[in-house]
This record gives sequence, structure tokens and C-alpha cells, in this order.
Amino acid sequence: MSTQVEEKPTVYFLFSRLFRKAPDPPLLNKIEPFFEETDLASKAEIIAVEYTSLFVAPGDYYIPPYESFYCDTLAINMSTADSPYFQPQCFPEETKGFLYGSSTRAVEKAYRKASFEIDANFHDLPDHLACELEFMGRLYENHKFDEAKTFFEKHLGRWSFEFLQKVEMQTESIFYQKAATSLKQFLNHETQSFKRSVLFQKNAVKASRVMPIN
Amino acid sequence: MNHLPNRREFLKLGGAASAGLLGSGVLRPISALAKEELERGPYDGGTWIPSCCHMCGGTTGIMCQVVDGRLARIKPNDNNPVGFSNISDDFFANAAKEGAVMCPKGNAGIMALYDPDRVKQPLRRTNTQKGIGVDPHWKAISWEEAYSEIVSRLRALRDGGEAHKLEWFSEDHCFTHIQSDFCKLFGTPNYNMHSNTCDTGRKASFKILMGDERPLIDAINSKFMLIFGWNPLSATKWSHLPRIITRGIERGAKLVIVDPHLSYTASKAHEWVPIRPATDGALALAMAHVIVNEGLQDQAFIDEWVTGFDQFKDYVKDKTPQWAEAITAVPAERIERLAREFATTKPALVDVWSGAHHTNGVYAGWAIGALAVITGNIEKPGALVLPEKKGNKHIEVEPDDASKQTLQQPRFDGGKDKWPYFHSSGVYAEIINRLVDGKGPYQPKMAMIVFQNLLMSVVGTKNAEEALKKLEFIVAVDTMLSETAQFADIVIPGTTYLERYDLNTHWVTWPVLGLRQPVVKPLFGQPAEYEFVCELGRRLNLKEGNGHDVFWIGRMSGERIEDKTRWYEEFLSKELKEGEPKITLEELKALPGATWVSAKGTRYNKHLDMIPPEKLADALTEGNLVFSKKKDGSKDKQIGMLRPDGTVVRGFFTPSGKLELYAGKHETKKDADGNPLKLLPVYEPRAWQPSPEFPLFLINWKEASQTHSRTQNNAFLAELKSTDGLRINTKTAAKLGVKHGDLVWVESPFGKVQMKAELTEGIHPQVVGTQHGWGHWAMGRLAKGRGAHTGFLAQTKACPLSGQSLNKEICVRVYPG
Repeated sequence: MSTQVEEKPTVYFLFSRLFRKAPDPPLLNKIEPFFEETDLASKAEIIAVEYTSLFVAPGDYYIPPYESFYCDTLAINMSTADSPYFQPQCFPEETKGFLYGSSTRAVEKAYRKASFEIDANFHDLPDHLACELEFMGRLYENHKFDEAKTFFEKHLGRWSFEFLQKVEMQTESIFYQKAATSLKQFLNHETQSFKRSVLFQKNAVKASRVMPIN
Repeated sequence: MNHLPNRREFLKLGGAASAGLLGSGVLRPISALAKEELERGPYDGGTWIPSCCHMCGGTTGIMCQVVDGRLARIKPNDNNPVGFSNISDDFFANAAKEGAVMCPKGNAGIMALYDPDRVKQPLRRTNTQKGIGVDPHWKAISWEEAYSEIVSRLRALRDGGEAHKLEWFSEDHCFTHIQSDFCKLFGTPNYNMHSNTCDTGRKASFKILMGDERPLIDAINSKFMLIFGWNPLSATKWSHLPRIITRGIERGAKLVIVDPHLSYTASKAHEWVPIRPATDGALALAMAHVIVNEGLQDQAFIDEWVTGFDQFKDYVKDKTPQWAEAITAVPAERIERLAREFATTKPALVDVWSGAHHTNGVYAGWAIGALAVITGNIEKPGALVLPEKKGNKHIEVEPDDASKQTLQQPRFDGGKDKWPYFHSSGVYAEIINRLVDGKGPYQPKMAMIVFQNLLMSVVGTKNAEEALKKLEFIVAVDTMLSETAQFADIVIPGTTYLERYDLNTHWVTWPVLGLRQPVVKPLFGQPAEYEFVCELGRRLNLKEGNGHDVFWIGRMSGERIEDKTRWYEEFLSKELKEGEPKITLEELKALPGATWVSAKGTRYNKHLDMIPPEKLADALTEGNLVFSKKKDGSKDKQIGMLRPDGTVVRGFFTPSGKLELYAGKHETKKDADGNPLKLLPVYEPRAWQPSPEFPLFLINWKEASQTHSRTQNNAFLAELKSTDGLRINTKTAAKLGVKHGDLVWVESPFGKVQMKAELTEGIHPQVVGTQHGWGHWAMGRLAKGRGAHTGFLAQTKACPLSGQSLNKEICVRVYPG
């Protein structure tokens, strides 16, 4: 068990790196066996364009890699909307799909609570997938297993599956479809392991309740 | 991967990637903060920050509530007149009582800030092909890569003596000074901005008539408002517009709207006068005919302050209401009645805005303004008022010798030599035409396009596409991947108005200056545009002629400042200190609503101002005109006129010092097409008229729900209105066999687009129309694919007097699609 947990940060860091920016040839060389690919390094430029179209440049293929986009909602008070132009068509009940919602601030606070902050050279938002993945790795690295479980349940696990599923549906993908599948499998393992740990804890609680009577 | 990985494989994967390969990550440990601070985060609780809107160019005052580091709410700023009234008496007396307002776009600003389709990193295109619908194959690059590539391109131009081959396009009302300074120091005369797609036609009309480009309406005090081709209750350029007009009505004014389309304003008016497009000049001349014929003019005012009344009177002699009826489709009796009402109701105002986007537009605007002149409705309460535009001072920079060389090159669009009423914003349509036909004085190589979507804002979209393809290198600075940004070689992520500074001085009649300031930090850590320009200046080592290191030295401290935000704060402080407010940026921030409001207030009859003796002592006189002197003793700006009694008053800054119904100076001038300028505000049919093949006029307009073509991806605004169809008169539709909701083709000789028919009685039967700005094929998920862009149907043509883009001169045929 301890070996597993100790190795987890590197997996998180690797996926964080893959979603933070497009992989360079040395990294591709190193990881291609795992993806059952050869000569990925020569495709680094195409992979960089794929990365950009999926996660950076808004357009037909863009899949926003932010928690807020998937989880936060805003309700609009329509009580004064009596304009003759008012034609509610897009969002009859609530607006979803914007950046920097309450989730963004919540994860930023979680980072700070664990004594981390976003590097000034990272020009993106705190609820970017790369940040949340790295944070999980950092928590494991510092043996903060309960915090990791909480963060996974409150944040990463809440939206990453939806996001990754969208990435998996990109049929033109050279690299990120597989990366997404792979990360999804890993996060599925995580979900399972958290469930097991809950079971273990529940049993432990049960046992502790029983013990005094005995 | 075609098998499910097991735990061991993940561990192998993790182990494969050493720290060196992964880089340094995004999280940094923090340690030295108190526990409470650690948990609270870097933000305070809720604070209200005063600023100015820039969802459009109106710069309405706003208050921004920032809660927990996020912008939570925007509300009007009661201390900024733009949002309540453009007249000081009213503002001072009532603003505190009634409060300011802002429009739907202002309310929706939060969604511009948090739009998921914002550009967030510098992008480089990897596809060398460019074109509408061509995927640029963007690749995200670092800021360092972006800067070095842009700078090396710029340096190559400048070092090769080709600095003038840089075309710079910028948005209005944001950081224009530093951009034009950069162009000057870099050595290109080709700095352009938005205005020539907006109101340079109107500017030319009023420049001819009164020597001032921007008179404003005093609606609150008016008793009769006659407005041609403008939708001010909905196309709310300034949030006080609907209010001053409706409050004018509450105080007894009558509102008459002349427009081919029953606009929102027309729907609230006492009278809607449907008119054939581009015939407003004929209607105004016929009204003048009635006024003069019946002796309803203000003869005393004319005798004292008007030049050319006799020639004008002679010209309108045969411009009878019957003559105008045949042209305008407005019944002669109605013209007569309106003329009488307008001339006998005091005070009255008349105005025109973007209804003048046609080949007769400048003369039509002049004719419309003439109605105010002959009835004496100038510079009086309730009339057209010339604003006192005193705010921050643009501190001029002095280019070095290399730049002076290339600055001597003619402007690519022909500039003042070609366009008699050239405006410093340039002529986008001409730039596009010359890029395509290669007949300019040289061929530009590079363009810097800052918040301009040329493909949707300049008429003749296919032509604009070809023009952009001719450029060797394009840098687009924008918050969105607009249609034009899709042609860029490098895209730089811009900031929204909520993340940066600006000083805003216009739109009311007396000196007022509102501060726009960052209410949150730029979302993606990007530099504000002025910092981007400053960085380019620094890397290019651009200096003034005397060696002054202008992009490094703080203008207040005189010290070298590394931090570019601080450097720009001193840039602004200096402009404030040397301008009318005479305060620093910090002092402006501390004022209520971060708005400086001159206590002097609105002044009427400024043409009667006596010129102080000390100014006269150091002035030049030519004929009856008085000019200030430049440092070298040569003639500078017109400051006054000599009256027969020997006194010197301000007058109007025209060649006669008076309001001009006859422009003698036109005698020797030609327009851009080589035709002699008219001496009088003549009506001539616009160049592009309906034909049997293309029998309908196509017009477009603005509404409160969107700004130009740049807000269609805003989620809140999409809630208000998410597309627009083609308005067709029910009779016309019946003839065409088109029913409400049918898809129709709208076709011109230049292209065709498909739209949904919206049948209405509220449009002239010979006219079809739509709200401008829809039909995006890029920009974002909400904007894309909604409605149609009518620019595909237009020719790329500018008004030959003013260079105004002729956005409304299109003829089409419509058929079921």
C-alpha cells in the first residue's frame, strides 16, 4: 500500500504536465511505450496543435479544462425583464459554462490552506485541470491522504470525468484521446480506492464503537 | 491504448517521467503567511470599485462589486454624468436624487470577463493558408516566443527603412494615446482606429457647418426633437441617452423619428416618419424650403451668425415638399406640417447619427444641421450644443530621425490629400481596396490589429478577406478569436475593460473625466494592452529624437521604472496633471466615483465668449480670424473672430468664423473620386440605387442588446436576444410569397446570405433590414452561426468626403430559400 501511495504523485504530476502544455519530444519518447505508440516525438508539433485546439484556443474542438465551466451556475433574476426585445432562448433557467466561478476560488483556497499558491509564471486559472492534478500529487507527496480524498470528492472527481469523456470523443486525435482514456482509468482507480478507504474507515469506526462495550 | 491499464502500468508510467522531463509544475509552497491569511486567500471581502464601462464606446460610469476576488455585480456610478445626464445643471441638481443608469450591455460585462471563449495564451498559426473557414491550426506559444517574433518582424521593417509598411488598427476609447505614440516613435504614419466605421460622416457634416465635429443634443431642455437615422433609446451609446430624451418628453417635448425602420426609438416617438433610405437630405432641404418660404427662420440669428444664407435660400427655392415627396416617399403635407412645427417650437433640436452611412451622407447631415442653424437652435438650452472637450492631455512625443524619414511617407489610405474631410481614424475601406488592388503608394507588409474585427466591421467582407491575405504578417490583440483574428499569424490575448486602465473624457457637454481601472487582475496573467505596447517599445529600444527613453522613464518621477503597470500609471498621471483636471491618478481614484467633474458646468452660447486680452496679445490675425501661435511663431489653431465692432469673440471655428450654409472653401477642393466639392448641402441620389434585378434597399441598425459585432458571445446578452432575422414589410413579403419565419435568400451582386423573414408593418415597403453584428462564423460558441452578416452583400466603399465606411448602401433581391 505504501509503495502505491508513494508512486501516485508522479502519475498525477505526469498527467498535470500533459494537460499543462503540449509534451516535448524527450517526454514523448519516454512515455510512448505506455501509449503503445512509436515515434511520437516526431509528431510533437502536431500534438502541440492538437493540444492547443483542444484546451487553449476557443473554436470547434475546444473543451474548456476548468472546473468552473462544468460545475458553477448562475441564476438570472428575470423579474424585471419586460423589454419587448426579451426572448429567453438560450438559458431558460440558469447560466452555466463560464470561467472563474465559486469553484475557482474554492480550489485556490484549498491550495493556500495546504500552503501552496499558483506560480506567477503559470498564466492560467487555479481550477485548470493541470493545477488540480498537481495539487492531488502534492497532497499525496506530503502524506495528506484525507485532504487528497476530500479534494478529489469536492473538486477533481466532480468534473474531470465529464471533461475527459469529451476529450475521448475527439476522433481526430493523435495523442490526447489516449491520454484522456488513460487519465480516466487512473482516476477511476482513485475513485475505487477512495471508496475502499471509506469502507475500511467505516469498519474501523464500527469496530471502535463495539470495542468499549467489549 | 486498447487494453485497460492496471495499477502497475500506471506506476510504470509515473516512474517513466522524471522530474526533469515534467518541468517545475504550477504550484509553489508558501510559508510566511499567518494561518488566517492562508485560509482567507489574497482577496478582501466585498469591495465596490468605481470605473467606466467599455462594453461599447460610451464609457458609462460603473461601480463594480468584487467579492472574494470575483466580480460579482456591476451597477451604475451615480457620480459619473455619463449614466445620468449630459447637461450639468440637471446633473448637479438631480443625479444624487435619481441616480444613474446603465444599459443591458453594461450589466452583462461580467460575462465578458468570465467568457470561456476568451483567448488566454499567445497563439501562433501553423497553417500558412489563410481564408474564411480555414483552420489556422493554432499552436500555443510562450509570451517570450510571441514577443521575440513580433519584435523581430517590427525590427526588420524599421531597420529596412520600411516602418511605414506597418498598419496599426485600434479600438476607440481605450489606450489610443500610447498606440499612436508607438506608431510615431516607430515611424509609421498609418495609425488607424474605429471611428471611420462609425461617425466620421457625421463629423464631416458638422465640421463644415459649425467647425466642430461633435455637437450633442440638449434633450432635457428641448421642446421638439427631430432625429434622423438614429435609435438613441435603444442604440445606447451612452446610458444617459434614453433618459435625457424621455425626460425631455416628460417635460413637454415632442419626439419625431425619421427612419426607414420603426426602430425602438420610433416606437416610443410621437411620430415615426418612414423614409426611403439615403433621402434624408432631400427631406431636410424641403423643410428648409417651407421654413424660408413662410418666413419662419430666425433672421436675427442668421444675420449675425450665419454665412451663405442667401445662397442657401436660393438653393432651396425649388426644393418643394412635392419635390421631396417624390424622392423621400414622405407626403408633402406632412413635410410642411413638420417644418412649421419644428420652426415654431422653441427650443428645438435636430440630429443625425449613423443614418448618414451613404454617398450623400455628409451633405445630408449638413442639410439636417442647417435646419438647426436657420431656426437659431445652436448653442442654446434645448438645442444642439458644442461640448467642451477638456480632459487629459495627450503628451506629444518627438520621433527620432529614422522615424521622421518614414513618417514623411504618405498615409497608405491617401490621408488628407485624398479625403477633404479626412479624420485621423483613417479610412479602413480604402486600406482594404488598396491592399487588394495594389495601387497604393506602397504595399504594407504588417498589421497590428487591436480589438478590431475588420471582416465584420468594414463593408465588403470578401474584399476584406483578400486584403488580409495580402499582408505578410498580422498580429491580432483581442479577448476573442474574432473572424479577423483567425487571419493573424500571432494572436495576443487581450484584457477586458474590467482588467485595465483608461481615462474617459467625452460625451457630456462640460469637462468631465472618468477613470476606468482594473477591478480584477487580468484573468490569464496577461499584460494589459498598454503594457504589451510598452514592452514592444522597450524591446525595440524606441526613443524620442532627443534620446529620451520614453518607454522606460516614468513621466512623473523621471525615474526608470521596470514595472510596466507603474510606468503606465505615471503616464496617465502626467496626462491628468497637464490636462484640465490638474490632479494625479491617485487623486482621481480618490474622487467620488473616481470621476472628476468640472464645477464650471455646461456653458451655452460659447461663440459669444470674449477672447481674453492676454491671449489676443500673443495671437495672429488673418482677415477677421484670430489664431494662436505655435512655438516657432507660425499660425496654430483658430481661437476667435473679429466682429465689426472691433471686439474679438470665439465664434465658430469655420473659415468665416460663423455657421456655414455655403462653404466657400469648397470651391477649390475635390473629393476622393475627383469630383468638385459642393458649395451647398445638396441632395443627390446615392450612388447605389435599386434596380429591377436588385430592387430592395438593405439597411442595418444597432440595438441595446449588442455592440457592433463584438458582444454576440456574451451569455447574458444572448439571453436578451440571440439572433436577428430580416425585417420585411408585409406587403413586400406577400408579393415575394414569403411568410413570417420562412428562410429567405438575400442576394446582392457581391454575395448572398440566408436569413429568417420577420414580417412587419414597421419598415418601408422598399426596404429590408436587420440588426448589425450577427452572422459570426468564429468568435465563440454562442456567437457562431446565429443570424447573417450583411457585409458579404456590400461593396467596400468609403464616403468620398469623409472616408466613412458606407455601411448602409446596399441593394438586394429577396427570394424564398
